[in-house]
Amino acid sequence: MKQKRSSAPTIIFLVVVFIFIYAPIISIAVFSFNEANSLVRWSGFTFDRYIELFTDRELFNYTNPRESIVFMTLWIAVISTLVSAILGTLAAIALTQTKKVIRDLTMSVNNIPIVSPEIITAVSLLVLFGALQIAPSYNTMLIAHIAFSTPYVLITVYPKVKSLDPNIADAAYDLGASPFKALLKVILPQIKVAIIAGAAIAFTMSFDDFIISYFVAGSSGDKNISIYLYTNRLSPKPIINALSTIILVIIGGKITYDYFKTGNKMEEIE
Amino acid sequence: MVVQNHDQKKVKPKKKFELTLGVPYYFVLIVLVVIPIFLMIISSFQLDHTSGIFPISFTFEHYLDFLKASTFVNSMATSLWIAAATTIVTLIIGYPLAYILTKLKPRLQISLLLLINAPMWINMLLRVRALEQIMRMFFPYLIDSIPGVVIGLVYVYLPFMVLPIFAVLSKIDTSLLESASDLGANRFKTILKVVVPLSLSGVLSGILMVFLPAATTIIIPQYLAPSHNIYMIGTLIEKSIINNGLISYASAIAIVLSLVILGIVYYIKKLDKYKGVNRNEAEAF
Repeated sequence: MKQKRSSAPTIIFLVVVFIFIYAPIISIAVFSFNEANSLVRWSGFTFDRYIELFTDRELFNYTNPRESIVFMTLWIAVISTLVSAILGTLAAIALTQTKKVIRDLTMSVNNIPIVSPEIITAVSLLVLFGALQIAPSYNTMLIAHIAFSTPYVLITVYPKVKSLDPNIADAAYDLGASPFKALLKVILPQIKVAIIAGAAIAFTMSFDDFIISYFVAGSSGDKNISIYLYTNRLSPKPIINALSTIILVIIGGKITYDYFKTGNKMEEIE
Repeated sequence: MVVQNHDQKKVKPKKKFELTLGVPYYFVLIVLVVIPIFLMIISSFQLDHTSGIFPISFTFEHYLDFLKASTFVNSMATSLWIAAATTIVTLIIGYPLAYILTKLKPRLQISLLLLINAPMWINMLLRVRALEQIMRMFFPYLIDSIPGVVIGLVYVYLPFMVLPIFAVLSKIDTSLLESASDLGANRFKTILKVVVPLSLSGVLSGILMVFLPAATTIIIPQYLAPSHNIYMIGTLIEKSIINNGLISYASAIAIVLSLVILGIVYYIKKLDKYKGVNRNEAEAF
């Protein structure tokens, strides 16, 4: 008959897998409070790493944000998310109206950056900027981020636009709404959730991107957090543990929040 | 008639307006996706270190170089072999994990799925650095070894294997399993003859989602094999561009790599002979 309780090997397997996934992450957080500069030996509890982190001129430059790695990473993530959310949403609305040939062609081209390995996208963008003689900087990084984020917005928003009832928009036109007003007041509110989901993907992709940013901007000395981590890999600074822990806490908070939200929804269904 | 004319007038400007909304994105796609690919192909036939916006030259040098120089062939072979090992290990861990998840109560299932997903939202460099720290503490002999690199890749890409398999397994109709046991199949046989074939499409997309990024990784060998005794294709491209500025040479590598990947994707897609099982679902959408 069917087993109701999980067997011992199953539980051991799950525990081992989750230790494998989480032990490194927990160790990063623990060693961010280490008194010694070592990442291997524990010598006492301190908040010094956090103080050092927020006074680090390279990561946080309060007087000149253009020189600050953390601010510039956030800035590029925000701008590229905004631009890709707008471009992707407008394209998704347009695609539901175009001819099938154009739609299929756009979708296949749209899939190229999603399917191909990052390193190939990175080389192709590097060649583009080289041919146009655009010097590597935060600007090329921003353009590259828009290029790889927008396809994700489009594939997230498009199915939602396709599922909309066209009669609702038609009703708005019949009642005298201009096309722009119909878009703003009727179509966008219906696809809001999908746009936010697409924007969340775009933001994380930009914030965490390494390979593409490194190729298109790495040689200029303009760094995002990933390039900073990578170029410091051989001389691991303990402040990186503090920075990582802060990022972990923010992401952990967001995930816990999502968990309780879905949990409440499940209970409503039950 | 009057009403119909009225309707057509209303519909036309609306459609025209919505069609123009796509124009900015078509422009982005052409400039930032299509043109770069063509430029990369052109670049791969150019000599490096020529100046000008469009240096006109034509050479097979880079491609011929791949046949002569052992660096390219070796790093390609290492990458493919490491990626294959990674895919097999993630499959061995990921399949049972996904299967166990489908058997749990909904609330626990959601929590564990979230816990498996959560690391994907964290910067990959942070996670690999964390793993490096653990390895140096407890398993220093894994640093600079192929098993160490494979463990690193499994650590990063395991969720990509679990999620698609879980997605197909959780959709399998339980009545199929009951009928298998009613017809006399034992548990092992049911899994082998019913569950595995039905989940094949999930397994294949998991394989693609792990194999491709694993074969083209830069980060993991740099952190877990810092003495460069394990030379993967990503490292070769990185070194050519960042250290030596050989953009055309790197373009040629990227193109050969794309062709190899396309071949692998085509072959794996062909393996999906059971895709008929999910056809009903595709039609439903």
